[in-house]
Amino acid sequence: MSKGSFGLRDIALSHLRRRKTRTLILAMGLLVGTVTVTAVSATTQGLKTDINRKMDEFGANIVITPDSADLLLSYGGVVVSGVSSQVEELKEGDAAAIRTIRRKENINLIAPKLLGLADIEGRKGTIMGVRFPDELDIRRWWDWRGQPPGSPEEALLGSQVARALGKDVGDSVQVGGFPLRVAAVLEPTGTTDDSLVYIDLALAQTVLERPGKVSLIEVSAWCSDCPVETIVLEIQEKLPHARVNAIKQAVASKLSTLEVVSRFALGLSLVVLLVGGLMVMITMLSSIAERTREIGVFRAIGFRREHIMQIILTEAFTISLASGVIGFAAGTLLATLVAGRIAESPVPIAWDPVLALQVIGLALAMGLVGGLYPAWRAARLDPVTALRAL
Amino acid sequence: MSFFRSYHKGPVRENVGEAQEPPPHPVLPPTQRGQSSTPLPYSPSPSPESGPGGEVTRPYISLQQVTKVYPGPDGGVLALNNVSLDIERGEFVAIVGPSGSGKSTLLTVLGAMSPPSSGRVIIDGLDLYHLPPEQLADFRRQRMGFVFQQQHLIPYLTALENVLLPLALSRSDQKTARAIDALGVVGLEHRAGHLPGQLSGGEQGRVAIARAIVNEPLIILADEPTGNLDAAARESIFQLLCSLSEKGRTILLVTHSAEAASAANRRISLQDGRVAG
Ligand SMILES: Nc1ncnc2c1ncn2[C@@H]1O[C@H](COP(=O)(O)OP(=O)(O)OP(=O)(O)O)[C@@H](O)[C@H]1O
Ligand SMILES: [Mg+2]
Repeated sequence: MSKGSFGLRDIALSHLRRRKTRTLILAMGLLVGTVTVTAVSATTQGLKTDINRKMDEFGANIVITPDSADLLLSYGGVVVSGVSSQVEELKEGDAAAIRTIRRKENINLIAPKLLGLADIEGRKGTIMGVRFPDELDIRRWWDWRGQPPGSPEEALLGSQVARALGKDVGDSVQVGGFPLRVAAVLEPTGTTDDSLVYIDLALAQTVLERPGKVSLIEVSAWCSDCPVETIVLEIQEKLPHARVNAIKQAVASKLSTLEVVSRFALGLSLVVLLVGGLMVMITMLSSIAERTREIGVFRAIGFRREHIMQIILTEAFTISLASGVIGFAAGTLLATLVAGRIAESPVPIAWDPVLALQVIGLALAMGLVGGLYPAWRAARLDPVTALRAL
Repeated sequence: MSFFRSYHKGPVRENVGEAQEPPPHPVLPPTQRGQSSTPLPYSPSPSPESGPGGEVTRPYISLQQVTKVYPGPDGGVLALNNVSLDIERGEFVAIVGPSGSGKSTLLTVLGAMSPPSSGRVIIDGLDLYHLPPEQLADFRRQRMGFVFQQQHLIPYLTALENVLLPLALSRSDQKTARAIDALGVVGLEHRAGHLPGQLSGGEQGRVAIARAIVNEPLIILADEPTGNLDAAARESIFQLLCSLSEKGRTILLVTHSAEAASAANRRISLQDGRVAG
């Protein structure tokens, strides 16, 4: 209370200050709701951004193959043609040309590869020439034993090939007459990757006697702000002799899983919100008799109904605003912890001003509805009846 | 600084002025009393008692056939039964009667707090219960000081803040000084910062009295304010009420004490909701 200016606000604040337990229970009810809604909302938003980012960064979403249809070879669900045919092959230069499209900033990784049959330890086997760092980036889900190959004299074996050859990390393997060191062996993937021998792209071109040629090019493009079809079209313009396809199923299915999860989380937070709202209601109703008597005193002293509403509104507004702000801050911090755990890597959680407004608005709505109804009822009574409540 | 600095001696009885003119105030006009609300409207219907020259002679407070029934089973409780009374400005009236005779009910009906079931209550020309509820509230705040039988202090406000309540709507910067003065009158300025729960029953009663007089009301309605007090404290409260009445305040005091009843200049005795003399 400031000197000489005792007013309705001081009455409201004194009530909150000197009825600490009641104030705390009220704040708890509001906090339960606001923290949960904030945390759930911020977590799903964070995870969505994170998944989008990871999907864009890693994993190909565009595959480029030669535009011919003889001697089909299926690789990883993608039909690769012309393994032995000379018509319309892709060249290494095509990979470089992709970097010249208009939306070149959207191109993240380019992984050209050459596929073919070669002599491996005296038997026929399939080899895949790749640029190792890019290939390992694009095959982010790969696990392996050993170290990733660092020089053209090193190879990476699929798990099945390694078993068939009886080779392990550190052994030497003959590919097309070249002695290579096995730098790493892939853990089983359950795909054709398991039966391939990965070697340096240039070496593969020499072994297969197809200098400068590639069988297919995998591209990973950022596309959070543009449809992937746009990039596909631009690449197609640069490479009219090639077939350019977008892989969309993977993206769509991952996003739909997240949709289900976030709907569940929304439902859960609505339930918690209801519980918080009930807590607020019960607290308000449990003190209704006491409040009615106090309102009777105010009325008897000559406060108008509007003055009483002003007291109640100040109380509800103060506690709701505080709970909303604290709930939003705590919920966002909680989301940072939780989202990091779920994603198993730090997920950036943004301080979302729109969410802040929504959460504070929610707290205000809960507090005002809970506080106004009892006050409105009590203020309608004549003072003597109100004073006799209970 | 004295709590009574703004009081001045005035005639005990006064006639109310002409209809168009504001009634003369024996104390400060509303503006000086720091009220933020608009002045009350006056509805001085031409009265049969109008004397020559437009002079109106009518009682300050007038109850006309007031009946109060509290609703309940068996037709409810008849707390006031056809009570008619006139009280003049500056009178000090003691209301006595057995428990349940309707003393508190009479006080709340007079105090603009509880409408009668039938009959009229007229104060200074105003037919009270024809006022809209919000103007009735303004009337209580500006004109009335009420001491409840059960004190009714607000438990989460200190003694000083409780006394400040009737001033809470005023914009005066003298509020705290006035409230401390009022606490001083009942000898409690040293307990200003204590909550009601930290005060004795008698001290709470004295805080309630301070709250009733802080606004310098024209009418003071006190419902057994001395119930919990020792002889000395009781005596000082009577002194206070007497001096207020000498300064033109109208006092209605419910009491069971014979000495108090004899200190008053009039006694109204209630019996089963009727005036028994
Ligand atoms: N709110 C109420 N509802 C029903 N009956 C009531 C109510 N208030 C008072 N009464 C009844 O009205 C009658 C008069 O009550 P009132 O409080 O005016 O008596 P009183 O003279 O002040 O008594 P006391 O000396 O005990 O305070 C009593 O019979 C009482 O039971
Ligand atoms: Mg009584």
